[in-house]
Amino acid sequence: MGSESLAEFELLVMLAALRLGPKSAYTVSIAEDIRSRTGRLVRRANVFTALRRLEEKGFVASHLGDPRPERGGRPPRLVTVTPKGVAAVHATTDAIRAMMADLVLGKVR
Amino acid sequence: LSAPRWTRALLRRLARPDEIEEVLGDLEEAHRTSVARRGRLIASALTAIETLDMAAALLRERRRSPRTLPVVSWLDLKLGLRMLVKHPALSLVSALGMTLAVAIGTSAFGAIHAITASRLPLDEGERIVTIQNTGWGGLGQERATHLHDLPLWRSAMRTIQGFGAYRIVTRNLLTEDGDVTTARVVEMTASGFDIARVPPLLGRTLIEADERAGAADVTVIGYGVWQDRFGGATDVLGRTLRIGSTPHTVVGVMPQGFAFPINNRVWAPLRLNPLDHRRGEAPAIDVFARVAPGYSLGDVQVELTTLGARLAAAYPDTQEEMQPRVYPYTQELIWGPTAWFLRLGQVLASMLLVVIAINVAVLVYARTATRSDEIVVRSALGASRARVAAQLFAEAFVLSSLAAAAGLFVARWGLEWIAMMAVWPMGEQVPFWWDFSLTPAAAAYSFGLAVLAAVIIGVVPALGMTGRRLRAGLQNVASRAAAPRLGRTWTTLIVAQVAFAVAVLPVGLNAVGSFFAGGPRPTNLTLDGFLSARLDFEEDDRPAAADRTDMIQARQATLSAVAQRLEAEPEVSRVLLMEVSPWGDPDLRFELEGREPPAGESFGALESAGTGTLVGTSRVGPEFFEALGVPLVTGRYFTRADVAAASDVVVVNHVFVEHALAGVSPLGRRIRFGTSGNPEPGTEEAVWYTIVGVVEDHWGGFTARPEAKAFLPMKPGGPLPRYLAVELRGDPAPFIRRVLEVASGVDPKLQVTRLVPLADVYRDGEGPLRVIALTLAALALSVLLLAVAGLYALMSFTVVRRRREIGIRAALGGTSYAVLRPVLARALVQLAVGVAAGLALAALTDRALGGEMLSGRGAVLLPMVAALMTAVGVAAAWGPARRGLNVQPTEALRAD
Repeated sequence: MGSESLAEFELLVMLAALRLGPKSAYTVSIAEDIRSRTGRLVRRANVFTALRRLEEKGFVASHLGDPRPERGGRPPRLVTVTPKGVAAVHATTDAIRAMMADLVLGKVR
Repeated sequence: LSAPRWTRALLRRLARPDEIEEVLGDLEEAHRTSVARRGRLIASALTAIETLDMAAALLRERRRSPRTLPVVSWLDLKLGLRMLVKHPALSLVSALGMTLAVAIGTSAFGAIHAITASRLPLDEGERIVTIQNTGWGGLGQERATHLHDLPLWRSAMRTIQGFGAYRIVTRNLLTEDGDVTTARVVEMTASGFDIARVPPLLGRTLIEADERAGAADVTVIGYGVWQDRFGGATDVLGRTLRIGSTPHTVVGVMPQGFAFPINNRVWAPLRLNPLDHRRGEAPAIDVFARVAPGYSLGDVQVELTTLGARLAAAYPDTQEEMQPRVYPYTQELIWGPTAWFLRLGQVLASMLLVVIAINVAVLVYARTATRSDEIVVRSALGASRARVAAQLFAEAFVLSSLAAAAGLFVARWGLEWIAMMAVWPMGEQVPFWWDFSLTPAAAAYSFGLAVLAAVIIGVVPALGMTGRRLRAGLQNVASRAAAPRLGRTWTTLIVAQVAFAVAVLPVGLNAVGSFFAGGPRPTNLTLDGFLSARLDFEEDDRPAAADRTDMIQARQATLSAVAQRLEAEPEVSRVLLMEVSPWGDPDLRFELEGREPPAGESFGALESAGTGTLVGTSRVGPEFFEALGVPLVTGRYFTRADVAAASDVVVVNHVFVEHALAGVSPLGRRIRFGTSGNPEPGTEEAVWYTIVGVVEDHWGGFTARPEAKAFLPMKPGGPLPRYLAVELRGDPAPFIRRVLEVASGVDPKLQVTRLVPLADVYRDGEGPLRVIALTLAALALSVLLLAVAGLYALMSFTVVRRRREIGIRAALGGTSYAVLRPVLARALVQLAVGVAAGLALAALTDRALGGEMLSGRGAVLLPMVAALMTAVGVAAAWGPARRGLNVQPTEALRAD
């Protein structure tokens, strides 16, 4: 059974969520993580929307965390990557790796 | 340090309830980080951009999320059932009100559906159509052109497979054993049987040869006639049935249930030759046809329109304004305005449920409002607005579907009852395809009503409570600062309802009273022992005008002969001939000699006999007064000499003298009358009649009070008597057959119908009246119920709202009176205002209608209803108020 694969931005979100872990992965932290590592400007709204899609597909699960003072006393929605999500990440990265094997990027350019 | 207020407000508005915390938290965190990094000004700008971006995402998300209707779970239904049990009084009142509404609505739907949508139970019955000329003339005039148009239609139309025509005539049926009845005989073309596609049970149907002039007189009879009149004899074919004065040979028997074209049991060939009549003056016939395969009604109409234009050009005198139209066969009788009227009735009947459902919604809202905390908490826990609405819908649907089921059950009887009271008495005029059983369509309709009611009761308040108020509510859950309020509109509604109940209830009670008193009021006439009958003569196709006087004389002779023969019977003590029944006399305008005719008054509907310009007139024989027990006050009755000499004398009653002559002795005064065709007495050469006697008043039937009457002697050459009354020494019932035998023995064309005891004649029209009376009563009852429930709900609501106040007052040692007074006061004021307004409305309406509305019982009914309403209202308010007293102070205060 082949796992569903992820779109590029979804993959970034999933990887960030895996890195941050279930206690600190949520919209703002994920957006910040991607921004700091890739240097690209990440719109919070896109992360929010992507997380909704991923949750619908069953790749992540979410729950409200504890209220935090820096959030004006409001709780974040913490996300946990599900085993199905991990499988999807593997499927996607494997596919990329497979496609890149033997490829000499310099020549393409 | 916080994000700008507008950004929070915007996102709060757009986010789903379960997302709000997260989205606002994200906004806040991102904004604060941004402020720390880039300073306040830039951060605000960035946050603004991000907020708009986020808002767009939320909107997209919202549109994307499939708008599936939230599923109603079994748990919701169970909860709904539990709510019903928990509030039994509320449930019962709501359910009763809605049951009534559903019953009335579904009965109306069923009846209208039976009339408008019943299918013709024949093979491909939907392809049978009626073709009719329509125009500006009266219907009879239009149908008088059919006989001449039919041959052209028949030869020219490709869209029609076969044409048929018929006319219905009333005839006496006489079997070989001398048994007479009157029936509506249909004279139909032989093709009618082919179009109906029903083979005979015995023998044959009519054939074209039967239609030729000079052919043998044959008839086809229905199953019922075969069974009843021929005892189901197998050798019925070839036997004789006399139709009117002509013996017909029975050639066929149709199977049970066949009654085409309207509701007929006896068929004779239609023998009308267009050559015998001038165009436009032929006897009226109805035309029907079967549409050829592959063509629609529209195709037929196109062809007809072309033909119509050709005919109009050829015969401008008769056809210029005529337009042939095709109708579905079953809708011939209910086209155009009638159909609209019926549909309007349907809408109104359905509106009743809407009104009642809104009332119930008000009641339930009082309950829902007390559950606002629950709803707020549910929403906070992530229940969407739709989910909350679905839950309340389910609860309401439990109630409304129970009511609908009960209503459907009642409607089944209601329909049968409507049919029995108002439809079947029309006998053979009722089309055979009308089906008054409860159809699946009616069941679906009542289910639809249940859903509609549940939406009104459940969904509308749910949306109201989960809207903008929700957030306010969320804050209040903790503080309990504000309780829900019952709007001013609803308070007004309840007052209006009480007023309406008080205004309508007397009418309903009066209707119920009349109904249980056995319909119309009893009469003071002596009617026992009388058998009455209606007299008609078989109409010839066209009596020449010159023969008219002869004809009337001949008919009068016939009637005299019948009367004489009946009087000769040993059981008969007296025979009366009357122009009209004692209750059917037409009201005519009159003029007293030497007094200005009343001028400038309209011949309006509100003018009733005895008001000074109208008087009920009828021609009677000299025996009338004594026989029916109408005592003489002064002067004299008619004599046989008056009748023989055609004297211009008149006997009036007491009411007439009171009203028209203000009690002055009327003897010798002269009076003349208008006619029903020309109501003004002075405009034609009306005869002056001399008043020779005054009799006591009589009443009965549907008139509440005795009316002004003038009795004229029957005169030779005058109007023919239409009513026969035979006084018998014994039981009238067994004598019915003898009356028929005597009448048909004298003249087979004399039709004697409605042979019933005279006492029953004044019950004419009772059936529809009962339908109206019971419907009114049911409506009045539901209005009363809802008004009471409204008061109850109002009180409950007030008590809930003032729970704390009541608790504190009670804790501080207030007496029950002191505690309850302010609570009760509001309800009582509303009750008083409602009752007063209702009374005024009822009294004014009754007066405007001249006391007819309450049959003169207003003085009793109005105070009774006011007292009842007050008592019931106080009781309704008292229950919740008492419950308020039982509020434990500690409990009320603990809520804080």
